[in-house]
Amino acid sequence: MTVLSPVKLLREGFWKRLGEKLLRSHDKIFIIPTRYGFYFISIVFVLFLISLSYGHSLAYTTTFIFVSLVMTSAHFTNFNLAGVEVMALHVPDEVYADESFECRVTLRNTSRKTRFDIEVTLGEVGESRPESIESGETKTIILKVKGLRRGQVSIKRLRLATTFPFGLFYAWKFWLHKKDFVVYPTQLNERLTLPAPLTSGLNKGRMTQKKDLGADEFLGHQVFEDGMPFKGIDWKAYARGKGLLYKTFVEEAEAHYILKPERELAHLSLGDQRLEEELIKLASLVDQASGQGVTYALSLEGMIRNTSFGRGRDFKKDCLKKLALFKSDRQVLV
Amino acid sequence: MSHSSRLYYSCLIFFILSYIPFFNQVNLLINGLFALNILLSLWQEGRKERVPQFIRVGLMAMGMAVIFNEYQTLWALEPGVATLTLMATLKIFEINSKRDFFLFALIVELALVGHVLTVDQLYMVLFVFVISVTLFGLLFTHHVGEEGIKWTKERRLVFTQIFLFSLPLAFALFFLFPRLTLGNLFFNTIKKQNLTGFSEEIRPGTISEVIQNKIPYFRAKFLNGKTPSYFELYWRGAVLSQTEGLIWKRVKPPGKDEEEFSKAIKYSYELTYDQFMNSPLFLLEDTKSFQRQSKGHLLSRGGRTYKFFPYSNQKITFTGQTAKIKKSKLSPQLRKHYLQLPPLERRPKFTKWVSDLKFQKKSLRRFSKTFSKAIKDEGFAYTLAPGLLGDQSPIDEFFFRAKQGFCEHYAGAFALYLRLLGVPSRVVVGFHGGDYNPLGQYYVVRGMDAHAWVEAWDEKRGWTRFDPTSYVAPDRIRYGSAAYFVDQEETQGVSLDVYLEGRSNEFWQGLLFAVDMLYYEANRKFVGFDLDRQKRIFSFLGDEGKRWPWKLLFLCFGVASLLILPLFWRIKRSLNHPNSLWRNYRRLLKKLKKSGFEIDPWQGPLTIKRGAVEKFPHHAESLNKAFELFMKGYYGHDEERLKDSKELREEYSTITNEFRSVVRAINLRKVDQKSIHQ
Repeated sequence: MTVLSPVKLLREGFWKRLGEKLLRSHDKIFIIPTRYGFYFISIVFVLFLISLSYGHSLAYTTTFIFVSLVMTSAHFTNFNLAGVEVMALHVPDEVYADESFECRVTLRNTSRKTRFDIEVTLGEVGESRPESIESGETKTIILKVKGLRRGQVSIKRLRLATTFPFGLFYAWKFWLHKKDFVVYPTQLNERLTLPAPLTSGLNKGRMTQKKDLGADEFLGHQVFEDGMPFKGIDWKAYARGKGLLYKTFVEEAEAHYILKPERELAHLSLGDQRLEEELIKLASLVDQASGQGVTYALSLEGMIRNTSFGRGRDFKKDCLKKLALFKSDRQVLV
Repeated sequence: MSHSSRLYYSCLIFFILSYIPFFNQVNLLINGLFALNILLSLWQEGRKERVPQFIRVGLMAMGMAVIFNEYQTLWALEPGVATLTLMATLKIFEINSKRDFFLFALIVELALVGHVLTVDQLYMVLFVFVISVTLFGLLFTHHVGEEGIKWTKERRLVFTQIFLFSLPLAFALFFLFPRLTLGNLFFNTIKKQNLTGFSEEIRPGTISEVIQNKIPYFRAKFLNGKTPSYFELYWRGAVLSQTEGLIWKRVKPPGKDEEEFSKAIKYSYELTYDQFMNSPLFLLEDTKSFQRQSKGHLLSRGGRTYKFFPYSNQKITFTGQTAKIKKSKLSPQLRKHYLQLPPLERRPKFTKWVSDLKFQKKSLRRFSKTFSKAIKDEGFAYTLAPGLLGDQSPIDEFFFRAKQGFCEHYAGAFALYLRLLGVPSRVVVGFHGGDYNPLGQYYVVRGMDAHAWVEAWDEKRGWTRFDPTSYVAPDRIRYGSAAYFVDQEETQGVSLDVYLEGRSNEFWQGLLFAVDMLYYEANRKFVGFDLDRQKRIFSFLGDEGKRWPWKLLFLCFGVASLLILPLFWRIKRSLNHPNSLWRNYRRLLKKLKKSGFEIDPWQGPLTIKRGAVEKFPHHAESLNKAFELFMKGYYGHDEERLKDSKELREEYSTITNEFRSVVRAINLRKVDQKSIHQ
């Protein structure tokens, strides 16, 4: 252990603590000069040196007028955020990757003065136009977000900022607000062809699960869940180490579709463009199938279906969610 | 009009406004170039066609060449300011976005800083204020983007408030910040011409040119309650010792005047120049010491005269003290220097005349009396237009043929006369007298007060002043130039005394005096505000040498902090929710947080209540009551319904009052006895 190590540890501890404190900060206002603010302050400093150098009364007057205005404006900038609170954050139901969407942020001004030119930002992906909020008013602001990847997104906090009144200072504060949502894979513009449907049995409009294995057309495996009869378990697959899988068959009058990828996804990892392409196609198929009102199921892992058959809006969302979360990471927006 | 057009025109107006007071600081050619750039930008804006870049580059190069040609350098104050102004007129071609606007504003601000150094007048404070309002008004409008904001009533109020808070602070800083000096870190002014019109040489006609000018050159105020008589008001500018007859030049003397002054101060005065740049310091006769308030370079020119080169175009201001001369000495080298004579061929008749003079007793007094008698007997006249004198021997021409002249003729002739008699002498040029302003109790000295006289060496008294003009035109010395030249034809047979007394009672004269006094006093106190003046005003801080400025600095920051306090009070007051119910709810939440109860920002009152009651079971009753009252008030009474129903408003008021009492009564640090018993 060198002589400097304790100092190094202390410094690291300090910065780490500071960083953590900043991450947890809520409703604390920070302020810094903008780029133009730095230029302006530099010029005022030069003017101050000129005044000292020449002892020129008019130069002193100009310096002190500018200094006073800058100091006062810093004050006004800092407190332009005081009393502004985030009431709610609403995210649209369906959000697709790499597409812009609009969130609605409801702000409330709990102070006695109007707050001017407040903008809301969400990490590096979302920003709003500056808006003013009168005293006691609640206002909904549109936050435009873009550039999210598919997967789970967690919002930890929003940033409220302002450069009012002169754009010389930038004041901001964080508002802790938890919100989780899922970003679905991008939709393709082109229309895809649904795969060949499975043939129907005697019962129209309903899917049945035959107890007699092998008598009717085998649809595929489904992960065993509580409540399913034990007789449908594929013990051979269990013996092969594939876990508890339930065999399903179809015997219905209308078409059922199984939407599955063209290539094996098991060997593809997150970040692989081929994985994304497949998921995008599947998402588009889900959208199409849902639009056509047919019954479908999603199968991502070979013979194993990830969903039961279904249709309707909620089922579509469920499928898209499974696609979004398949081999994805969590994006945290701070 | 599009956003970018609006931004462009705003910038154009701002530039013109900031440049107008200074357009006469540069020559016509440079102004023409600036005007050309502005016109081209207007054309670009009107036609929506971009001026090609090569043309703009060409304009820049042409501008730099013109500036260099005018000033012969780029590394000085005036060419620097001209270059910045040129850059501003070219940047205005590119005003499209918020970024362009900010950069333009910064260039104009830098140019303004340079312009400010070229003037030193109190009225410029108003100009600086107007420019500040305009600049910050533009920043206020465009800080969000090129589209700008709308100036609503509330925004106008905020803008006004910012200035109302800033100006007292600026005022306090101006008076309290110690006027320390760093020495010259920046460019000097390069203007070298001497605006007095005096060069270091006079010849027949030099001073008669200067006296055509009626503008004030400087103002002199006497500070210790003593004012010299009009006959003592000789302001020495330059000492001329080399002569060729009637032409006298300044030549560096081989040594300094050796004089010992008495300790008692006779007169103490303050001089503030009006128009000068590089200039002699016009010191009152027998000035023992002086202190400069303006920053610059001082050169000694011999004969107790000095020339001053201010670092920027500042009004020269200094104070001086006169005293009686106790002892003087003239070294042999100086004696010889001040006995220099022109070649004989330039003064044959005059030399003969002087050598033919007989004196019973040789003394300066007798010499001057003889000369005076000769002037009077020969009917010499005092005139601004004496006519041309020959080049060969101008002194002979003047003394024997023309017999009329101005002060420079008589001074030159008298000095030469004394030298021929073996008396060291020299011609002094400067000013005599001035217009007295009885309201302000100061003298205004103008061009027409320019004068030349003689100093002769007296073995007992040292350098002694002689004014040969008084031999030929005593009224000039008695009444001053304004009375003597301007008003003579107006007297119409009435004596000058009576005429002058009548004139001073005129209403307009009094009004002019008042206006001039206000202007002078304000400028003097503003321009001449320095560390000495601060020490006088803040004398209660004591006088401890080097520590004094730090004390003043401490006081400055203290006062500045006090002035900023109302801002904090204003902010704190504004944070109170306009609604009493919410104010007290926030008070309640604050009490909970202070007692260690963590509240997430998104939690509603019901969730918080459950958590609080769990954490503070001994205060369950009061907490339950408080939250229930709040929810009843908040959820049951929205603004629209309150407006329509008086009953509802009364109910709301009751709930709010009760809620406030309950919240105030809650003290989480003490155990609630009621809860324990329950």
